[in-house]
Amino acid sequence: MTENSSSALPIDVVVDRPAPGVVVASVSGELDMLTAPRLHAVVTAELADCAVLVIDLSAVSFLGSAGLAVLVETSHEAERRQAQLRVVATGRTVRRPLEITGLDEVLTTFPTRDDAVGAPG
Amino acid sequence: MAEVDVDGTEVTVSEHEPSTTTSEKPLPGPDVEVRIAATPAHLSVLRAVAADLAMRADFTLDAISDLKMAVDEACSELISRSVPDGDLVCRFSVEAEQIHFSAEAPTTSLTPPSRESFGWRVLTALTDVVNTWVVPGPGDTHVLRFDLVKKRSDAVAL
Repeated sequence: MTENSSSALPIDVVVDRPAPGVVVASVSGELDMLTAPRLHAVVTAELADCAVLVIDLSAVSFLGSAGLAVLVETSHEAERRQAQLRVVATGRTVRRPLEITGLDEVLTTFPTRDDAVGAPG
Repeated sequence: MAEVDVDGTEVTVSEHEPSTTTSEKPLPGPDVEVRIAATPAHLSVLRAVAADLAMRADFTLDAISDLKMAVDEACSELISRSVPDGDLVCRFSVEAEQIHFSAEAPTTSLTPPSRESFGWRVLTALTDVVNTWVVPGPGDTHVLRFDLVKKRSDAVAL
């Protein structure tokens, strides 16, 4: 069973620690005004205790500006804590909103979870 | 009031309805009208309607995805500014080469959304024409409106 599978929202955030100091938050479902606060709560809690936070958006079926705002806030928070935020962004559904807002230039993105986890610190 | 933004999107933010419509032809009734409680739980339904209409109208994949995101953005803004128990009314008109979307919800604020906001930047990037304004509603209320046009091909430059 996953850590957050009880959510009634159309989003699921599963947290996993593949290596010491590395947290991967895998998001599936729709990331909009309704569900973005859930992702925000999970990543803010995880950020308190990790050096690298990977947000994996591979299974996201919609990414709206509320979701983008969580990514931006999390990247600022990571910077304050001297942690790294890495975003796994693959496929049109996720790439298009990042590109159209220019956030693909601001956030550190990777094509796969393995690339993000294995990237040199 | 209308001016052209850096990316070519015509934008207007005013407290009055624009006097000229940006559409080339007279507007018949909308093809689809959705009246729904202004809560975030309903956003996915509105996105689904937008995507379905755009698919049927043969929009490119990027244009479908842009329209979905623009509808989500406008409706999110309306929901966050709506009075409690307010209704969100959305109208979709499929025209020759574009989809015209308008939406409104009652609000207590006289001020339309800021053009400096991230959300506004998203809307102008995603659409070909976007307007927002506030009109007087019943009693002490006001009504916030969004009006946007998305063309069939994704000619909007990134």
